[in-house]
Amino acid sequence: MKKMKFFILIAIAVVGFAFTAQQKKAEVWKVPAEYKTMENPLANDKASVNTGKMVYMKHCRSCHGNAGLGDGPKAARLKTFPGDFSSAEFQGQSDGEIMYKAIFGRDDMPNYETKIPSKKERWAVVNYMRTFKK
Amino acid sequence: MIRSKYSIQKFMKMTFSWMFPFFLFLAVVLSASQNCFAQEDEFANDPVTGTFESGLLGETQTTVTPFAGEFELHIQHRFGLIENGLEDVFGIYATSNIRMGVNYGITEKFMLGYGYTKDYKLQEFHGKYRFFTQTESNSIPVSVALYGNLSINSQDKVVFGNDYAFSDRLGYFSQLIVAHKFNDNISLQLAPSFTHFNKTDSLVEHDKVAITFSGRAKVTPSMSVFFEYDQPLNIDDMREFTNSDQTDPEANLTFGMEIGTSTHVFQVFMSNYEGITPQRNILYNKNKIGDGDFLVGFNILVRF
Repeated sequence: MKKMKFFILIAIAVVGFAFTAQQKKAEVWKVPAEYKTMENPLANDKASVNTGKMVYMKHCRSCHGNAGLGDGPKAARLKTFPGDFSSAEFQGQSDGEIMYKAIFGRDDMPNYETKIPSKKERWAVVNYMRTFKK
Repeated sequence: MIRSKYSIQKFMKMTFSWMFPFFLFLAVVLSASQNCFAQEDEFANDPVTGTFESGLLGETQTTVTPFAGEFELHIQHRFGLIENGLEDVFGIYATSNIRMGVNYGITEKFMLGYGYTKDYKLQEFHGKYRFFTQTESNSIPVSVALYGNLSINSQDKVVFGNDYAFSDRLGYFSQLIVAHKFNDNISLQLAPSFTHFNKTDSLVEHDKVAITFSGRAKVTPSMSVFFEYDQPLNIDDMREFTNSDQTDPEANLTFGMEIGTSTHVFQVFMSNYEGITPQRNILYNKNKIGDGDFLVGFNILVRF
């Protein structure tokens, strides 16, 4: 009986590790040129950051985490690491690139065109994500 | 049970008596808030989003509809009255009422739905159309929606009395919902409604005009507190029977908290209403605010 319990524990651990080990780093994401150069028309002020925070907490937090570190409660179940928004690599992108990725999505990252229909809110969430910069 | 002697003249007279003060109030509120949202930028004519978290706020409908092509599953639960305290753990072990339903967004502004409620075995078909959406610049200062609900009582026909007809099972609820989002945190709405039952219990009127005032305030980016007050207009000019004031329905107060995520909305609240279906609540509520006849309820919405 003891042996049985031991093997069950080992099996659970193996399955658990198998799932965590599968998460990979995101592949290069090609953003259309028009979005790369698109200017953010929304002023990066307190009001827009607050609006962006509301949108982020509702739609993004569960995977990307409270501080954008990619450690939200759903993150571990994803096939791809959701990214570290505080990193220099992420913050080095243009506002248009971030907005494109956040709204149109790909693979594990859902499309938010219908859930975030307001253009103002789309740019506001970019302004909020800029606050994660270390 | 008694069939309706519904008079359209009575209804029109009553309607105009409260319509004027209603729109006057609306004009004052809107002119006071005109500059809160006003912007002179490229977003000026964009529709305001997130006036409320979902199409349901406690016991009342809001101007919000599902996105085009989106399904919503609603689970609504009302425990018993809290009056017995620990005896039934504040109503948790008392008889409860449950509704399950689905809504579907046909367009961005139009939804249809179906649901069934445990009490009175009500089958409901409802629809909502939002014909005005508030804009960022307040060039359209309010969102306005029209909501209609048809309920079919599917109990055995013996409960309807001797001269039974299928139409005895039907109850109607229609509501004009006017909402204004003041800023990212605060939204309010006012909603006059008209309820009609083809057949009611003895001395219960068949028609009732009511007004609902409700609102929510965000306390964190994903959590809000909300309230709702429903007042049936028990006006003598509308009475079908001289002594029908003995069966007047009571007003309702609902207050609670709401958590909204991308795919779910959770609402936990206290309320006087136990019927879930709006026409049952408006016409038959006997729970009094002043007597503390409150119960605990929750709504769960799943979007997919």
